[in-house]
Amino acid sequence: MRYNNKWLPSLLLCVLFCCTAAAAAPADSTGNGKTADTSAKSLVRGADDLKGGNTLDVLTDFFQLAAQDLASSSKSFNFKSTLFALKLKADSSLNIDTLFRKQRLSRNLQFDIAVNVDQDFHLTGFTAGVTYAFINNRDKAMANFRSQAIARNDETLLNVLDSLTNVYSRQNILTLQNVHARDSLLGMMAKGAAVLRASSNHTIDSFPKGFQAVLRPYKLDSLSKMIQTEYDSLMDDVGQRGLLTGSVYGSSNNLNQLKSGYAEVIYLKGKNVQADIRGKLAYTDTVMPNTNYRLNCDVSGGADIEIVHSKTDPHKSVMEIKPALEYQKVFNGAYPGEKDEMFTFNAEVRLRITNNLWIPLTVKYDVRNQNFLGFLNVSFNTGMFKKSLASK
Amino acid sequence: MKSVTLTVNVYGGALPPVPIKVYLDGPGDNDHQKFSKDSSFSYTFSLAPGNYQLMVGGQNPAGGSTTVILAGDISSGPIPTSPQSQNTAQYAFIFYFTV
Repeated sequence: MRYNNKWLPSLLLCVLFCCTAAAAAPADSTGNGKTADTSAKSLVRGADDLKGGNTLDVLTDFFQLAAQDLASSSKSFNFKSTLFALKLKADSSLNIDTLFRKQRLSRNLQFDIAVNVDQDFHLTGFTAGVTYAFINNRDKAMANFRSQAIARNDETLLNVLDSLTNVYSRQNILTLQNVHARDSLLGMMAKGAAVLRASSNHTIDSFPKGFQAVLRPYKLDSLSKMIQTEYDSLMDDVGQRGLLTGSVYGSSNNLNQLKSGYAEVIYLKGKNVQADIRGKLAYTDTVMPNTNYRLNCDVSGGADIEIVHSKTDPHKSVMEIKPALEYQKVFNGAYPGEKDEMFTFNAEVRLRITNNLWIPLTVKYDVRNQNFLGFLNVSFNTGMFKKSLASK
Repeated sequence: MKSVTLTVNVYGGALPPVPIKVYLDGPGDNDHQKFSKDSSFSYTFSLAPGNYQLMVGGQNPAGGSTTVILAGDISSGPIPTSPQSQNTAQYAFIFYFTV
């Protein structure tokens, strides 16, 4: 039975879209598509993905609107967030480190609500689920480099900078009688220190000319660049660590009856070549002659391999391929003609269209039956909207 | 003696990747202070009259930021004005003030 009110699904979709678009944040310029399309990977999105540290924009980066299976007869529109994102909306001070570190549970708990529609955009049901990251070692917000060389280099640079700036200021600036000139030069000293450390410059050009000559032999600009390289490399390493998530999802039909559900466990590790192991137990309501439900499991293991990256940004993947082995078992409710066991070799190729838009094409080869199957998915992040609006 | 309070807040991470270093240089030979902290903090200096340079340096959590606030019995300054914030991977704040 279908809802007679044809406006209801459209209204729900509009509300969902407006909420998400209004909260749209700057796009994740790291552009790692590997975090874009699975619930497990989206948990990686956290403070490590936020640009500019602007607490007012923090929450919005956690929202995601995704349109799935656009080419098929059944479509869904998702609203996805973390518990931490909602708490942060109510209390922005949670983003301060001393409070942030106590939010491990809420940062690792993601919820997902979806409206499902048919090809005519009539409501066919709802989907709801939660995902929790039991192991999240790739959380860059937890990165700690205290025992690394970068900590010693950082201290060396600051020691030298403090000593030189203090001596120069006292001997050459604070002795000036002209208050305006003195304050102007002190301001340049402060700006010079900030620019020396800034990730885009690392130059001594913003210091007063006289002080630049003092600094030059110490090569602090080179040291600052080296620290930046170390920082980027170490953060990259963090992004390759293990991530283990568990999810439970359920979908209802338009009569609010449970139509399907699943429990899934995913483990990821690595980056350029990423191990990807998944296990899923799924339940589906059916209307077949001998049974009224289907219960099956799906276990796969493979490697996500970056085959092309951006020429301008080596950390930005443009094309990836994921070969995998998959085992499927139907415990109950096999379809007519369907084997209750299947062993396939899969290959998923994903092509980046924009920073946030990927097109994955999955091809499965059934070894026993020698059949090919293909699937196409398109998903995108609302950050893309705001970025495109900002550029206009 | 005058009181000047330094407040450093780190946003967007559980802790900064390396300790926050603080350097205070005063008018006398014995007015140099240096210490480090593992996370956000507030610290009050008790200072004799004179000109001071305060430097705070460290690194931000990925995508995070650090804000430094300087307040108290400051008769001139600080230069630059407080608060200051940086969201780059590394940062160094220098303030000049007179108490």
